[in-house]
Amino acid sequence: EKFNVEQEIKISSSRQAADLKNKIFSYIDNVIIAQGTLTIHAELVQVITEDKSDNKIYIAKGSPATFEQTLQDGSPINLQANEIRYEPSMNTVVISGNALLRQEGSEVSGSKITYNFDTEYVNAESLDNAKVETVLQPKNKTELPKKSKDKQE
Amino acid sequence: MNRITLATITLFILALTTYGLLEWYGAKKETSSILDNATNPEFIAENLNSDVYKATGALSYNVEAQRMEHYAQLEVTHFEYPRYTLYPKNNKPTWQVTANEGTLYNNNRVKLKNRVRLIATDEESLIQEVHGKNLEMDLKTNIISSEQTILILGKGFTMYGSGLIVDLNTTQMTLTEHVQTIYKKIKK
Repeated sequence: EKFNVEQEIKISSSRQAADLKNKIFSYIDNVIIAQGTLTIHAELVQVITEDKSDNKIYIAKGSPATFEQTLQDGSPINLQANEIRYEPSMNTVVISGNALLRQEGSEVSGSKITYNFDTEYVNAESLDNAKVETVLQPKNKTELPKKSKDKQE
Repeated sequence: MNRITLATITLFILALTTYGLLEWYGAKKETSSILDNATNPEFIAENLNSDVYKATGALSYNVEAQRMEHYAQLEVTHFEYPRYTLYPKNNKPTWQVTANEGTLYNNNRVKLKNRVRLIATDEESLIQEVHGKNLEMDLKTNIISSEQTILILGKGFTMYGSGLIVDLNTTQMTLTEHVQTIYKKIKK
């Protein structure tokens, strides 16, 4: 079923601290975020509540923090990076710091990757010298013969 | 053993027992008077409503209670159904604390028991209510803590844990044992 960003989000962790004035909640030590088929594992998660809209932004940090999700077509997607910034209200997840995205055999790595759930659009950026490396595996939905992997600079 | 010695002996025993009885009775009475003083409150108030001010003149807190008993010697004040209104520093919005029972020790530490509620009066406050079986409150520092498990109701989330410490002045809060927080979309 369609991945629903409105679903209830459960966070478990050993400790918790909150700065009520700035509306920031921090969850510390073996933090797990669960929302339907989405799970995020991190050492620290900060939940920021936006003032007007009350929308919540979940910033997970770890070495690395990991993000697993099953997409609309049932295929899994795995992200890992030093920082994972998940914004349900925008349907996006932005990962930065040796970021790696794995989906059905293809991998994208770079310093910053943005993934949009709705459009399934991936945008990888790299800092000046680091390169973006994309390894594409043709989706064998249409049973294409296996082509050799081509590297994209 | 003629009758005179017999009489003197019985008289002597009689005197001894009456003396012993008097002594024993006297001692018992004394101890009970100390006890009475401790168990009987110095004064009792019904439908109490009192404002307490800081040295600077600012209002520190208000307490209402159905019944209050003050034990001067033990320096303890017991409340039934207390409702505290706390005024954090630099006049931030107030908080209310209610419970079935409360005990105030050397006039700044309060232990609250049974259906304890910490309630934010500010709608915008991220934390709306804290529910627990018992909470401790320091009226001087406005720090509220609880070792027991507590439930926190907030805007769009519910949190379970224990080892709560919340400082109303700095609006900082920590849970040394966090179990789980559930975020639900707020239906606008």
